Amino acid sequence: MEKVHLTVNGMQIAARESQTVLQAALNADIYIPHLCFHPDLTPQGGCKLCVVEIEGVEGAVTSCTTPVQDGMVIKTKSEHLSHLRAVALELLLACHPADCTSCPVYLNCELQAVTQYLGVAHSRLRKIDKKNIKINNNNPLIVREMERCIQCGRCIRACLDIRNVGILQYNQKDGEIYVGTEADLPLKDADCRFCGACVEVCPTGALRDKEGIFSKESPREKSLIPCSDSCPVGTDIPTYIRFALAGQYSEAVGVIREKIPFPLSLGYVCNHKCETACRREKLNSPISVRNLKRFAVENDKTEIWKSKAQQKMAATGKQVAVIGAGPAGLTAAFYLTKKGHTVTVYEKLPIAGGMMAVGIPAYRLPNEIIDNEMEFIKDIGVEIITNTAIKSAEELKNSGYDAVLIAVGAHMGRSLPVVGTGQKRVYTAVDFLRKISLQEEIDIGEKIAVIGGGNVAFDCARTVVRLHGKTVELICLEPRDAMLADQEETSQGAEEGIIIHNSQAILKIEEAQDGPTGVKHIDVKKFSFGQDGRLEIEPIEGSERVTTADTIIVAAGQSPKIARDFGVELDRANRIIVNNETLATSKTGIFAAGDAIYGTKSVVEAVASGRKAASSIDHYLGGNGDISEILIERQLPNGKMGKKENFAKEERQSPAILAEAARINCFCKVDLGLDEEQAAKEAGRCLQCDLRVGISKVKFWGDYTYK
Amino acid sequence: MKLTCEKNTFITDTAEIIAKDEAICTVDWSKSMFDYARRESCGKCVLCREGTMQIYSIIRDITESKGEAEDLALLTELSHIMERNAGCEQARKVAKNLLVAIEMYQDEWEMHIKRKRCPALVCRNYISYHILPENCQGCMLCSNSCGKGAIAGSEGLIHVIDQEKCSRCGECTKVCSYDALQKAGAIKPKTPEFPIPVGSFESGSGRRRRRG
Repeated sequence: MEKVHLTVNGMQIAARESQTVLQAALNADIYIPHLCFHPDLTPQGGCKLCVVEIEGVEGAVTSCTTPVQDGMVIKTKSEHLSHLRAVALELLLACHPADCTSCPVYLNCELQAVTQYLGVAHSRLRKIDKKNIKINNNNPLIVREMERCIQCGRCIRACLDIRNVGILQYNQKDGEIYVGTEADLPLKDADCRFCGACVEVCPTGALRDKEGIFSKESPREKSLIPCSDSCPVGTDIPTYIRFALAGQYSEAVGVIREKIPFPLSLGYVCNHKCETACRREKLNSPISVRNLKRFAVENDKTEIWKSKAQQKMAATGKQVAVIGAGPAGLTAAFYLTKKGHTVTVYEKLPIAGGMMAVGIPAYRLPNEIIDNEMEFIKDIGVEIITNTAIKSAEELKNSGYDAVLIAVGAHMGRSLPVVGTGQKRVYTAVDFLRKISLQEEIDIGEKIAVIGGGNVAFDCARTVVRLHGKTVELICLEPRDAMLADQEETSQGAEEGIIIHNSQAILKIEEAQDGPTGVKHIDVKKFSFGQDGRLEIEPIEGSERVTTADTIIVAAGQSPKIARDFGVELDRANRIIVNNETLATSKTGIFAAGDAIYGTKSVVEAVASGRKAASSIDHYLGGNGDISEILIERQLPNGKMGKKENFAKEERQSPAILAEAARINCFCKVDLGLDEEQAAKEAGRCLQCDLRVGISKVKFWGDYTYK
Repeated sequence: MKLTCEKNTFITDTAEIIAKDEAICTVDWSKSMFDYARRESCGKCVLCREGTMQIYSIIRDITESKGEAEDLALLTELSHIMERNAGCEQARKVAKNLLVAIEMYQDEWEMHIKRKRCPALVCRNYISYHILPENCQGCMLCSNSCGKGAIAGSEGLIHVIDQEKCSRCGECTKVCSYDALQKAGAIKPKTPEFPIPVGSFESGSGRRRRRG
């Protein structure tokens, strides 16, 4: 690129031939007032604030539309220029509310800043009250308070220039000009893509994001992408959805694998916080992120990420033991192995996978999926020793390991005081599910009662349905509309014939000599949790009844099962006490992760905890602690998404579900996933929130050296 | 959607205002020009979008007894800026026309602003319509033509305009065959307060002769 030289206010500056005078000056840290100019948009020359005088040119010219020329001599300040700028700004302010302090963008407003810089006041001009500002001001996601609009046209250009959508325009009505859509249609009907570019470039408080869409806890760059921001491992969701849309499933998997060593398992069972956070939820329904993940993995024919994902650093000679082969332990083992350490995983049970294998029933997550994903982890060199219980972490460490990670999960089911444990045919959910998964002998009768209303209760009840000829009733405290289980669990469970009793408190277990005969429960008017966390129940007198049952399963939560002499400090709920930053326990070189430190959460939380532990342990062992990796090189996404008819109305794609008749009495997978056409439709629904991060940030006059 | 401002439809030459006759009110002419210009603006340039709107508002105020002493200087200042810096030919042209109109007919502007009068009897706020009792034949054509019901009188009675109701549209002047409708500025003709029989109005004293 050819360089040219010009003089601005007596200073020599260099510029590229393709630049405008304004760009050249701003690059050289010389401020020229501007408002309708935005670095990413085609200049319009409309606000007149960027006017300058150029030697040999008559009058003032807008610097944003004037290309640089070698030898140009430019003045950015003069009495005439100040007057012109002041009048232009006064004209803008004449149709803008005078009170800044009540504006949501007070002190974060380009108009306010430039008004302050130019020393202009709301003033001697006639106040112009435009009548058309109330048009179309009720939209999802985007607040449009057009009385603050100064018609700089940045939103119009952002919509057209950088998104190629072009639904915003200058409208004329009754002699007034305002920014709107064609025929003043609401954004939804005007085929807005809700990308937020217009909001991003608005210099005033006219266009804003609705409150509560973006988290205030994360830095802005992250919070703008709510799916990734809410994902415990921070998966780059918009990027893999984009790959999925392009049919590049292997690339999509690579992006997922940068954070998750169990992409397919999570494609089946992730509790998808991303979907809860998805901005599209406010439009109609969130993107089916989990199903897209699953579809991508199941259609990844080339595994182009594989060789990179298998790369290991040079051996460090350090030995690490991991106790527990669940998602947390295996994730940590995987990344520690990649960092060059030698890792051995000890598993008490005969199979690896932890709760994924023995807590989640096979109809939700087929065993061969876990096995396949485990193979990849073993392939890079993680040694998994099953059927081996560790008595003491400290002893294990002293037997020759440089570090130990405890990731034993939470395998001790909780019961209710009125139920107790240990009686014949009374089980906690974890014990029941584990025995079924491991195909162990278990004594169950014909009529089963499940106590609890969360996802685990449904896992139990729906497992019973699959055990040939057993009937099951589920008794829970919450009313139907406040049940803790996912909606698909309650509805599919009901389809499978589970009888659900809502708003019930358990009074006692009716028992005979050879085991339980029923559950006595009572209708609950309302319940609450007192200040000390104790449950307070208001029963309806006289509504006691007995549900007959010869087997009881209690799904009332679970906690870590760790002996007091395991060698680390535990809290009252039997959880291992760790430093939240390093996950180090009270014993040097011994770390802990997963359910064992925080009780029960989810598989993806366990993966996140395992990653954190791997990083921390690597650090402890002398490494840099960096386990981040790029498996798929990114290209800058094409922001020109274009207009798409009826985009806002595109419905979420639902996966095919196995018919009830086919799914009871067997553990076949119930959710059959999306087909290719559905996956493409679903990926095409994404609002692509990440594109907004790519829009340049504007600088205020205070940021420049010469102003 | 108009994205460019290349239309150059309002080519009113300054010659029109320079050569105007007494029936044309400079202020009203200027107001129409800016009303047109603001409706034609593409919206991109602040001097045209807000400038035409602002100037139109000021001139409208001047025609509606809301003009202020500084307005003429303000209009001149805004027009100068617009004439030199607006983004398109049309905006520069209307600004230039206004400058000529102000310079040539400053007295007329001053009359509107300071004395609330329109010498050409065009600006509605500064005029009133009257029915000359000497000419009125009580034919009812004018009262039938009035959309506001502002003209009182029945057949054979001298008609009288209720100034409160009158919108000064001038429709009545078009239908009268007797030259009885008159537009007035500051000096208003004498008329009866309510309808009286044709021929019974005494113009000299202004007093009405009572019958019986």
